[in-house]
Amino acid sequence: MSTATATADTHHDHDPHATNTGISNNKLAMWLFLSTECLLFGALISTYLLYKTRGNGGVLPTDIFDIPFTSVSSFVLLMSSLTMVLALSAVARGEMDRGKAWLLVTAMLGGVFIGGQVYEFTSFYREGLGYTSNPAASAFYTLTGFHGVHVSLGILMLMSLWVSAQQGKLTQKNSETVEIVGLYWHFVDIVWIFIFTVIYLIPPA
Amino acid sequence: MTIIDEPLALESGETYAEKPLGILTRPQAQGGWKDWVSTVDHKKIGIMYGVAAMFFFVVGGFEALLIRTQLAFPDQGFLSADLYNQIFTMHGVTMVFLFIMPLAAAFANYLIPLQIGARDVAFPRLNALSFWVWLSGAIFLNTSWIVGGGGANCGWFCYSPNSGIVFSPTHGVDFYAIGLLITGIASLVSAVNLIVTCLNMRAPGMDLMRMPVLTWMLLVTQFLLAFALPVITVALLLLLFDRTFDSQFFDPDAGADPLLWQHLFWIFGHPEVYIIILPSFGIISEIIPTFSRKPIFGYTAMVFSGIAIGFMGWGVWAHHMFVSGIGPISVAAFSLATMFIAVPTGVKILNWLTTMWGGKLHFTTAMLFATGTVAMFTIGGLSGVTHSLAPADTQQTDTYYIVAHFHYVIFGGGVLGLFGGAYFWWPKVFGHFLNERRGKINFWAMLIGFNLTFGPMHVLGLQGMSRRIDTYSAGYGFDFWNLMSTLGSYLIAVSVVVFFYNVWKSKKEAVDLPPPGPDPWDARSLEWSVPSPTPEHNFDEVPQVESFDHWWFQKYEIDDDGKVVRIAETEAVAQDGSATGVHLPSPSFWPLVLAIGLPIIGYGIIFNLWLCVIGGLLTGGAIYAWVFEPVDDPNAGHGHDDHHEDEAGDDQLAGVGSGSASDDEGEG
Amino acid sequence: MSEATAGTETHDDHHPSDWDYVKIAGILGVLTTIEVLTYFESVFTFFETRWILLTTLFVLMIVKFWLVARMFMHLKQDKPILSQSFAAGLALATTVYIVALLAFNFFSA
Repeated sequence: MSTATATADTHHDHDPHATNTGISNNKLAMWLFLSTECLLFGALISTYLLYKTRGNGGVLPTDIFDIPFTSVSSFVLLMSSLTMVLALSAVARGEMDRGKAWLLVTAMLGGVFIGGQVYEFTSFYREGLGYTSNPAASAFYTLTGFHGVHVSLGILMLMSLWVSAQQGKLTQKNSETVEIVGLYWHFVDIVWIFIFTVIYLIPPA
Repeated sequence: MTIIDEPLALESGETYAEKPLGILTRPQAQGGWKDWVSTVDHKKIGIMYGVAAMFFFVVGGFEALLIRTQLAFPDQGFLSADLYNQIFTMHGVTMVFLFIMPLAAAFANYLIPLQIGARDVAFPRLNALSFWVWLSGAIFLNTSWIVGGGGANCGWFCYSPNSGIVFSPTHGVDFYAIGLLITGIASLVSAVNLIVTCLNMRAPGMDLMRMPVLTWMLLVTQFLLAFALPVITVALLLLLFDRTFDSQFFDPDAGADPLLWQHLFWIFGHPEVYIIILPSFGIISEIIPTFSRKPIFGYTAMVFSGIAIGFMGWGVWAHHMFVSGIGPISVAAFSLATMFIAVPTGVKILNWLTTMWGGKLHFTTAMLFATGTVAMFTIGGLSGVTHSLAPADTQQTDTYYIVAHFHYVIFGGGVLGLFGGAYFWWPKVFGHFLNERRGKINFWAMLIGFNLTFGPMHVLGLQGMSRRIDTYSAGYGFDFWNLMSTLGSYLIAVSVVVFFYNVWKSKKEAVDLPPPGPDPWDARSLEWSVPSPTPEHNFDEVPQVESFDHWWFQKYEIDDDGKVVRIAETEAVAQDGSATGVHLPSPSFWPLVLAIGLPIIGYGIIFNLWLCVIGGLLTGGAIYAWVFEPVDDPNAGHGHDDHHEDEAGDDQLAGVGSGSASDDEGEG
Repeated sequence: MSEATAGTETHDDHHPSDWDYVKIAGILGVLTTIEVLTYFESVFTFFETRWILLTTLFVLMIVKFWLVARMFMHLKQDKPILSQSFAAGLALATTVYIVALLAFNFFSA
């Protein structure tokens, strides 16, 4: 298999598979989609920032953050990016067993993160922070919930990849599919990098 | 995960080509309605967008006539105040989201691949998905008349707290929120798809700076859509959560800030204005050079002013909010930005005029509409500049002056251009002309009716007549101009009837007329180098593009004296559409199935959460079925053709990336 | 597209090795640790000064963001158009929402 650039340049005119940019349609579409997601999360984050002090006399999310706990789950999500990239590099080399293992580990780390979020939401609720308690609470749950939904969808995609690899449909030839799912996964991770700092770590003034 | 465990019920005459996972069927119909519901052909999808958009144009137009009938005379009780609120809201929502945007999408779908020399869009199935999802959202939105206790009644921008449960207790606003979320998914998918198409699928030699202006404007529009829709998505979700789950985003009593809605809405809403107008700008940039027999003046300036409008459109949203108390600094900053955005728009107007200057003008119906667009948009643009002066705007806010302004921009600038496009590309799409004489009646009736309807609103507004008021008392000096405006709206209705009559009659007459041939207008861009109507495979051979206006230079060259000389007859250089065995993307039912699931989820959120489970399973199942359906049916009959453009890979998992994208958008 | 782009992944000259990825993850881990330590004010007392705290947190966040996007998402090796399109969305979102928050007097409150 030749390199991307060489193929794109030399066969530009007659290779029916060549694209003008040399990037596959799927990958370009995923990147475009991710850049539109910046606007989506930006709106949710701005909403929370605007409302974070508006407790309507009740509990604020910032009052009850459990930073050590969230740090651990943030770390778990961060490390899932490592396992994701290892999965891709294994699949790209054709080491399918190793690739499958890393895919599974990535999905599991994602699952741990989601479990942490469920635990966090439950304990916040017990401490009096309901979804409808005040604007700050609504904004907090909506933002982090949205992120959680994204992680869950990522887990679903990873498991689908694992199943297809198990069935032999996912091979070295389609490693780009793993790469595209990986892009999504890393994006969800970098959104959390932002949320972790801006929402959790910066203490109220 | 997949819940569809038997083939979709299809009647005989079709073969099932492939059953991956043992559950999927692949339609292979040729002709008939099944061909349409399973098609992934960008041309058929474009036509369906057009037909559906025109249907909603009639719906929205009917609502407009009701409004104008109510306002024809003072103190009328033709509509109750409540019904009036619902009708003007649904009029705005229908015209913006269910008419102009999809009609522009019709042009984008049909023309972008043809203008860049491609066989289809980058993701043909996602393209079908966009259409079906949009249609399901559009129908969903309008079912609120029947099952929702009436339409939304909060105006098209649905300001909070008016949109809250207290002031809008019926389900109308829920339908508004969910309906627009669904159509938003459609537009987002379509935007990503068309951007990738423009960036990746161009014919050899078709550099970005050789793309026709229409394709450029549509590309800018898709970028605006891609970035603006997530914002309105969040706003609508917050509204929906407030109404459905009692969250506290817009409740001032709980300390929330209703201005948040205004900001989010207009961060989306102002780019939306350019989403509406830029396709029309692109269309007339094709029509005017063709009928002036000159190349477009200042192509580069045209492209870059379009991009500049796209950029600057993001920096002016708060000029919709000058009276909402955003503070003097914000007002000053947004005033300035708004004045600046008139500059690239002015560049465009100048370029159209200089294209016509010294040209051999040929006033066909399409050209009349294009010229009308330039003139009417200029009026609308100028009244727009008056809004950028905050003190003047304070006087004009919420009066009929605003209504006059945005109808001059959206109707005068947008709709007239789209009608011109219809007359221009009709022979290409359907293989026969629309009658020119009836077309001219259509144009003049529409132009006069339009000015009679919206011109007087400038006066009414400056006299202080408030918009959205269901009636007015005699003696304020509003009577005469309101009556004129109502008469004008009836004249617009007549012109639309003439258009539909023209469509019907021209088709009937076409059998006795010679076919238009590939290039009836002696035009400039690539779609005119293929037969009319466009063959299913678009191009026999993918063209090798050597310059801007490549097709024109196939027919003409400029000699040493700078004179235009014909070098070839059109028929000699046009393609004849005779290629066989061209590999085309295979049709699929899954886009339709997926699209049906979404409104069921919508009804579920409003009425009974169990419906969400059904809709969710349908949607989720369709996504999975889709992902594991090969993009190209290996059993479909086709030969091998060296020139085919592959769209999304030939491996079984190629859809994962795209499938997952739509998956997320379902949540976003 | 099979040749043109799937080829990218197997072409190891430009791609970091697995060990490189582990090293990057190690750096990310260390940076996260520093971030978390700012929470325990007894560890580094100078983080009680708000501007030092904010600057540190933002710099760390941006570095982490940058590392994941450049290395794990392969923007470093990929065609510039991908970085450009992502940067466009990111820059647009940042600018628009900062302006919106400014209009709410968020930063002066």
